Formats: sequence, structure tokens, C-alpha cells
Amino acid sequence: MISMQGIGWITEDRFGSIFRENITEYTDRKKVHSIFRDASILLAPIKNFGRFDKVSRNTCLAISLALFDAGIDYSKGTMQDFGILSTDEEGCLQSNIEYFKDYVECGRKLSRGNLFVYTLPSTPIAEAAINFGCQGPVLYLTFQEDQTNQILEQGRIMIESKEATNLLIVNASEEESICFLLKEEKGALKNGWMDLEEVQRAVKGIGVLPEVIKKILQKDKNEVIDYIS
Amino acid sequence: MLKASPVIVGYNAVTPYGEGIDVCWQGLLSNQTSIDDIKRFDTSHFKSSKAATIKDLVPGKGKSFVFQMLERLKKNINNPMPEDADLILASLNGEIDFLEDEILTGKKGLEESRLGLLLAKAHDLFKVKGRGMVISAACASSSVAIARAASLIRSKKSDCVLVVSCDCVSEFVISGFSSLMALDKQSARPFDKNREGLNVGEAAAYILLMSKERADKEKRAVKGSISGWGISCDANHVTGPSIGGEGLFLAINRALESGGMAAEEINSICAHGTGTVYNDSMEMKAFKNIFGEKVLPTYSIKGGIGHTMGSAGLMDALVVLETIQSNVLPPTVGTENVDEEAAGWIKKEEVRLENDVVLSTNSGFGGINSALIIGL
Repeated sequence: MISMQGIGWITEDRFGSIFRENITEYTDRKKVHSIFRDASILLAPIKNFGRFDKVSRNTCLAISLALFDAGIDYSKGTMQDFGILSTDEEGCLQSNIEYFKDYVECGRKLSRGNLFVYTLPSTPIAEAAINFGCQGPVLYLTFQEDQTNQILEQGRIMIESKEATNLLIVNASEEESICFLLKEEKGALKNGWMDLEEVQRAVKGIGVLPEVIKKILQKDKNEVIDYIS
Repeated sequence: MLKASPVIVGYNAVTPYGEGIDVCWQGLLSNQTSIDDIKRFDTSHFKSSKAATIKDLVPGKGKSFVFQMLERLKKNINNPMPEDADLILASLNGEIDFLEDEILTGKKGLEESRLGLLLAKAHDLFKVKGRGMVISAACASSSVAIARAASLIRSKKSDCVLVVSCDCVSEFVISGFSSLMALDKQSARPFDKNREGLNVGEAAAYILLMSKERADKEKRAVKGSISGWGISCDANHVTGPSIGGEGLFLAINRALESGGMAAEEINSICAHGTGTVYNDSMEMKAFKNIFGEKVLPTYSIKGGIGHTMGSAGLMDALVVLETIQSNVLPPTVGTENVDEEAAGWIKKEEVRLENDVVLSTNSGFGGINSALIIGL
């Protein structure tokens, strides 16, 4: 059975982790990194965080919340057997625009390498892999519909066929992001973990990321009530 | 134990050498490069003016460069295309010229450059109605796409997957690689001791994978198989590879494990071999760690067709299939003085050998590595 052992999410004014039942409000986006550090959600600072594009920042934050939710420790420089899959609606369109506009404004003579590196849809998860030491498969996928459900399905196939042991699955945009931590579980689910199928049912057919987060939160509340009772 | 392998029942490509994989194959065997001066835009401010481009692609007129390449590829499909095939599209930048046009001329096109829209166009163009996805994993995109296709078939989630890849030479890409000081002023010289970098190339390619059962049922000629695959991340640097090749080593080991195979079974290697100092050195370290004392004939095609970005892995796979069918390995075009580190491995001339199990590797930005084992 594939189990969902951590879910982290962040929007423009709140962030949370599902199994720990945390929802925190915030007002200043610039302070999120230090809020995460103070709350020990980030166990180590994210190098170059200020230079990341918005999707990379949201990707790393959601991953840190999912790892925190699952109670997984990591330390700088220690490699982990985690892969990362990501999806979104836009790819790196905004980063592409930013890079090329800047190049044109510079007279089409010079371009900035530090903007160019974000013109790949896989760069945000590569940044996350570097920060969290993830040596498993790292790839970006996008689908014509039902993004979250379909990428979770790809994660299931990769774990079931032993192509990955643990996966962080991210749906990120410039505004919001959510990360699911998937592991194979041989025994019974514990600590309120969810079965992957259950999560897939909850998000099936929902294309917009804020709605996915909302649905997961609703799902979690029911789960928590069931678990406690 | 060898595991059930998805089989290859069709493939072809459009490359700077011309239309068809046979034309590309002959170009590589001729030891002549297709890398030339870029005429599409002004390159006077870039570190290199060289790239491998497909002739006669026309800018503007509502069709992007990659779509024109895909249309040519469609004309070169030489097998019946199953309508129910699932489709995986591999690309880094897709129709990036639409975005360039809007920023340079104000003509609407930013949204048109999204990869998801290109996927829908590819569905229509190739007339397939199965599920679709885009995969982007830096310069390992299309080998990762082949791995995903093979995985879907082996896990019985699909019995037929069409993988299509495409990327084009653009001002967007050349300016970026130039800013990273990654381009060679001359034609790329993979594994050469004087190598200075890569040259960008463009290509569109497809490969059609099926379960063995379906291929037999439809009496399809089997041209090869994807025996094993592995993907890893260096988790080290966003543009540079892990110097010791540890990430690629992991990917190759995962591919061997996935195929239930031992390293001794591999006959030859199609390396990523971009021509950058760090990539080529990293690959040699990984190969030596995997194969120990055994020296395997190894080549790269990037001195011939340039680094075709999202198409690089698929182009490598198609050339591997040609090597398996002919028992000939192409020369590493452009290489004159083989680096000491690659001595004995890299050949400047074509090599004849019994070649039925081949390792093909790719690595990209973000430290993403892929390894495919391709067999008969």
C-alpha cells in the first residue's frame, strides 16, 4: 500500500501541515523563511532562497512542510533516498518572460545566467533536491487535465515498480503550493496517515490548485475527527 | 534475471543532417559535423556563433519552429500509428519563438508557448487519442520520457506509448548558454582534451513502444527493447554536475537493477558527451566506477548534431538502435585529441563489434541523470 505520510501547503496568507493539524497565518511573504526557521519547519536555512524565483520558493516551502508533517529530519549535506515530481499549469512561463524581457532590455547583448537557469520547468525541484539532499528521480510532468490526481498516479507507479522509494510530489504556482510525501507502507497505516487512493479520490477532477488545498483541508478535518473518535 | 521489456516498434527523427534517422546515421558515420554558423539571429555578442540547425525552417507565419519540425517528423512516420497510443512529449522550451515574438514585436504569443498547448497540438498532429503528458527533466527529458513510457508498459498501465521530443535553436537558448559560458566557439569536441563547451542543436524525434504481447498480436517488427532504466539527482548544483559522477553512477546502477542485469552484459555506451569540461569528465568517472577495469567502446553524437536539449536522450536512443542493427558504432564526431581520462573508451573512428546491449546516459541542469539500457 502506498501511504501519504505528510502533506504541506502554503498560500499567499497561510501555511499548514495536515497531520499535525497546523494552520498558521502570516502577512509578510519576505519573512516566511525566518518564520519557518523559528518554528523548526526548516531544519537548515535554504541557501540562495532570496535569489530563487517564486515557484522555486513555494516548492521548497511546501516540501519543508511535508517533511515536517511526516516528522522526517534532514541535515545539510546528508543525502536522502527521496525523489521529487512536480506539476503545475504554466511550466516556467513567468520565468521565461522575465529572462527574455531582461535580455531584450539589455540591448540583446547580455543575458543573466541566474535568470536563465529558471527557464526550465524542472529547476524549482532541482533547487529543492539540492537543499533537501534528494537523490531519487527528479522530474516535471504536466497533463491536459486533473494535474494533481494524475501526478499522484505517476508517483504510485514509480513506487510500486521500485523506481523510487519515497517521493515528494509537488503542485506549485507563484501563489500557492502543496506537497505530498509518499512512501510504501507494508503494515497498517498509523498516526492518521492516509492511503494514497483516498487522497486521489479527494482531489480527482480538481484542476485548480487553491481548490486542491481546500479539498485536502476538508478531507483532513474529517479524517482527524474519525481518527480521534 | 532479465525482466519483461517493452519493445520498440517504430522510430524516426528530423535532424540537422536531414529528414530520417538513416540520414542522421550516415551523417555521423561520415564523421562530418552538421554544426554551422547560426543564420537565424545576430550572434555577434555571444560566446559562439555555432549551432546545428535544420534547414529551411521559416520564422513567423503562425507556426513555431518546433511545430514545423514535428510536421516534418509526421511525414517521416514509417509505421501505422495506433490511435489509442498514450503520448508523452519531452521538451525544455517548446514553442519558445512565440514568446520571443511577443516580447520583440508585441505580436501575441506568450501563452501560446506553454508546453501543455504543444501537447494538445501533438495529439492532433499524430492522431493519437490516448492519455497525454509532458515531461521536462532538463537535458535528460526525453530519456526520462522513454523511461516513463517503458515503466507504464511494464506495469501494465498502458500497452502502447508514443514518445515525441522536440526543441529548437533560438535566441532565447543561445543567449542563455552563452551567459553561462557553456558554448564552444568551434564545433563541439566531446571528450577531447581541448574541449571548451557544447553547441546547441535542434531535432524532433519519436519512438513507439509497445508491450511484447501487443507487438506480437499486431505482427509489428520489433527493432529493440528498453531493458532497464534509472533516474537520479546529484542534489549538488543547479547548473554543474557532481564532479565525481556519483549521481550518474546511481542512475546506471538503478537501470541495471531495473533490467535485472549485470554491468558485464553491456557491450557499448552512448554517452551524453556534451563537450563541456565537467560533464564529460564526470561521465568517465561514473563509467569507470561501474565497469571497473573493463573498457567499453563509447561515443557521443553531439559533435555531429549538437546538443539537442529535450531531444538529446531520444536522439541517443535512436542512434543506439542503429548501432544494434548494424553492429557498428559511429565515431565521436569533432574529437581529435581524446582526453587522457577517456583514452581507450572514446573512438575517433567507427567501431565494429557485436552490440546487442547498450547503455545510454544523459545528464542535465539541476543534476538530473538518466540511464537507459537498450537491447535487441
